[in-house]
Amino acid sequence: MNRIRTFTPATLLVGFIMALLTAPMAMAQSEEEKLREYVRENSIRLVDKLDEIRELYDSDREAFYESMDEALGEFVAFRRVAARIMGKYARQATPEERDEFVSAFRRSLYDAYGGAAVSIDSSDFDLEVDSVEINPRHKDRATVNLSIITNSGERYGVAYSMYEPDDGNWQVENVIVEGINMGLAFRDRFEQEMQAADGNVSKVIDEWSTDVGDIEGLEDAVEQEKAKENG
Amino acid sequence: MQRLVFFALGSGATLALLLVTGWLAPSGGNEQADAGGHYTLYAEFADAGTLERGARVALAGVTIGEVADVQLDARGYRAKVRMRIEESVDNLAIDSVAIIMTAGLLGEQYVEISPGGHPETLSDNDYIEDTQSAMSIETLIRRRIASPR
Repeated sequence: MNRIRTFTPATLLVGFIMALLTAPMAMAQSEEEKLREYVRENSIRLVDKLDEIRELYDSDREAFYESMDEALGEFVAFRRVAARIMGKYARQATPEERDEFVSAFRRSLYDAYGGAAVSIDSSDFDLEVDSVEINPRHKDRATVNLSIITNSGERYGVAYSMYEPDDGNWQVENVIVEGINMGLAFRDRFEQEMQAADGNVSKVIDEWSTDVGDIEGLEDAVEQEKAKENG
Repeated sequence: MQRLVFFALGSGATLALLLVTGWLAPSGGNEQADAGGHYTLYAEFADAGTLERGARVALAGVTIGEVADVQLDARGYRAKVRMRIEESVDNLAIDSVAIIMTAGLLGEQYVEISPGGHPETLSDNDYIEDTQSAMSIETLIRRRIASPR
């Protein structure tokens, strides 16, 4: 005999409440999945772009900066990153000085990428997005954990702190490499330079633009990796 | 009926007395700015090292508060640190960073606040979202040993 399943109003009510309770979880999951895919796509696009424009870094620096702007301009929250680096000095700087530092930092970052692109090839490493966590207190902030795996199997943990503006896509506002908070490391450097410049913000900003990020250590590490692979 | 009225009045008076004397105050963490002129801030760390209750919280090397407790957030496997900050330090920007530092080479650990520049400031029960965990020698050695030659 076929048993006909009937739903009492009470069962329907319980089902409805369960659906309401689990809906936000499902939404959060899909939001995290979307962010995971967004970061993965952007990371691949950036690496491809660097491969494509590496020659420009020496031949046409301005064209290199423009291409980097296309690749990173939307993905990195430069204004927030720069304010984070300036730290307490952001409050004493004028709006013009803050704007100048955004440009100076952006350019120094591109220079660091350019210098690295000369010696690092995209085939030297692989990139995986491990996990995504939306901040339970602020839905517009998230942490994305990634792994960079070199050809010899060495794995480096990287975490992006991300921010979602009201009118745009998620953007990176800080990077943590192997537990080291890079935003904080740059803030320490800014602080040191402020002390050396006797508190002259303008001087620190001017010199920041000509002071390319230190990538010598990174280049040495890549060269050592390559030497190991070649026996 | 008269007894019921007396009972109600008695219960009300007892309840009021308990509230006034603080016996019915919520137990556990004090979530309000307390009478001692402090307010509460939280920070989460991937590794709290040997940070303990009572450790100092400093800004520019000057003590501005203390660690009220360190608990494990079992869901996120992170250390949740509750700090009591002096009420006079009421202008900490929301982009400030909480860093676990070590006093001396083998000294005790404490929390140093690196102040940010954002115009918005942290208030009672807010989280310092940007943190730097304790870096232990053991972790660094482990990473070195685990990496392929």
